[in-house]
Amino acid sequence: MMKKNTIILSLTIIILILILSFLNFNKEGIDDNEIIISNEDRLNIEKINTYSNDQYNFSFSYPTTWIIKSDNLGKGALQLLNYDDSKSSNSFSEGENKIEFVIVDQLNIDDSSDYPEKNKTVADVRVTNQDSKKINIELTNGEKIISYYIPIPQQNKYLYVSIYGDIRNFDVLDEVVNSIQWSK
Amino acid sequence: MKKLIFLSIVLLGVVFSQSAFATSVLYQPTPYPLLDKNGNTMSQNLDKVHLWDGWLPSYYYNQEFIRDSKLELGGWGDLYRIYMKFDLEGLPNNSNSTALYLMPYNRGDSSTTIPVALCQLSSSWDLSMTWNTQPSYSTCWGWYSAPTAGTWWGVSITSLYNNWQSGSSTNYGIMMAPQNNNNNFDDFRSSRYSESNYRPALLFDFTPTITLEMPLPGNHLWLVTTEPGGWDCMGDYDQYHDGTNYFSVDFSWRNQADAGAAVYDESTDDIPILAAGGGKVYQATYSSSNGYYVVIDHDGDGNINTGVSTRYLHLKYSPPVSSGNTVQQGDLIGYMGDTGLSDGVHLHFGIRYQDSGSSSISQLSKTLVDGILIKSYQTKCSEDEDGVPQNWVRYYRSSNTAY
Repeated sequence: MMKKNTIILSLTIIILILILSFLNFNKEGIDDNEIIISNEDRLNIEKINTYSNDQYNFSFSYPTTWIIKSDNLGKGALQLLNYDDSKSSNSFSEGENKIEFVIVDQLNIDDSSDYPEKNKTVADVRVTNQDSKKINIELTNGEKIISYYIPIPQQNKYLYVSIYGDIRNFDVLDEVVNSIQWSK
Repeated sequence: MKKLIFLSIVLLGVVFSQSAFATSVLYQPTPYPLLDKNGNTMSQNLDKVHLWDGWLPSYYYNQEFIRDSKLELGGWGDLYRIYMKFDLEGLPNNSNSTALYLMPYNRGDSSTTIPVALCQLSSSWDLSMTWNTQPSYSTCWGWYSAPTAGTWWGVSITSLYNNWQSGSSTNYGIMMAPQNNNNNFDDFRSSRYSESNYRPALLFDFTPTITLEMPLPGNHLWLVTTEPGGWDCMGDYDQYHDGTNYFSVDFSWRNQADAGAAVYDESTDDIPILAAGGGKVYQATYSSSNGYYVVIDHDGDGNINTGVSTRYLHLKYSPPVSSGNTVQQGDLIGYMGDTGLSDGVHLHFGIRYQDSGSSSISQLSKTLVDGILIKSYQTKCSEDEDGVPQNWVRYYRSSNTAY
């Protein structure tokens, strides 16, 4: 009788061990899956594109929700938009923004008489280890433009970057500018 | 005797030169929709719609002021009067002569036409006016001959107009009254008539300050999307076309081509921007608000605080001209773009005198671009079945260099 009880107890322990082992295996599997899903989610949120320019030897990152509309840098402007510009309008609607890069030879922060300004501040900032300027313009109708003048290393020119449109998205300019890297 | 002959020759020369350079120019306001692009009521303020014109019945139609496609005058026992008030902002100051022209048409009934009196109004009124709330009038002139259907009917309003412009009398507009109302009717086309050529017009005679051409390729017609003063028929207001930049127009990239010429497509083509007149390039640079832009000094002295200058904003590329370059009318100075404070490819074209584009500047009110007043560059919208504006539809022909 004693021997029979010992056998039953042993079998019960073995079964319990097997069950616990199985559960533990599955738990690790679930954890692994969760980690993988979590990583994918984060990648989707933070997904970025990278723009590189060989002529001026720089690159920067920008959100995938923005698109490059035109790239005429040097001859004209490089423009990033967060909206479809095929509509008929001359002004930015809610949520719409444009970031514009141009190459200029010299600092020009004269007031525009075509777009009268209410306020303008010019601050010294460091961008990619360069002594740069940040210009904050408020026009008379409340519209704002924020720009950076960033010297291009060894070229005696400036990268002039401005953002327009809905001010709620203006932090994207800082993210883009902070991601600039010079390749030489 | 010799002095007298010399003086006579000089005086004749002055008279000849004045008449040689004076020109006659029509101004015909386009009608504005009653709703804006969102389907809301469009304000009908005079600075936006440019002309209040309509007719007022003494008995029928609730005695309310009617703004449809006609202007009716006369009556058959009852009485119909015409009221008009033009927006004078930006129109020529001190013109040599100014005349009001209306296009009469045949009613097709047994009525006969009737001579007309024109009266200067001396108190304010608005579009909610009824027969019982008519404004007062001071002076009346007449009787002017009855109109003939299909032939422009005109009356000189030179002194009246110049007094309004100088401020010596307030512009309350005019009232037109019939000589009789025994089945006598004069019917004219109003500003809401479908054919733009038949709408009420002011005809000015003056010596232009300067004659420019549209800054876009000839053999094409170009769409206007923002008028001098900042309004457009969608109901939007752009304050950067008002105040000291009143005399400025937005031209869209949308265009129509003559036979044999190709339509420009902004997505695939570079659209040339041309000098509206000859002169010296004052600026050709970039700013965060103007984008790439060019300023031309048309008296060529290198100082835009004298004479007329023109401004071309939001160009696509760094301009192919530089400060100090001499340009001729029609020279290529850039391509249409949307750099700077711009959302959509267009040209912001500004005209200034002594570096101001204010509507009060007489020299600009007498500046012609492709033969018409700057003020005449107006928008017009197509409307859906509910009267909601859909698209800009008014194009203007450029006679500048063909590309």
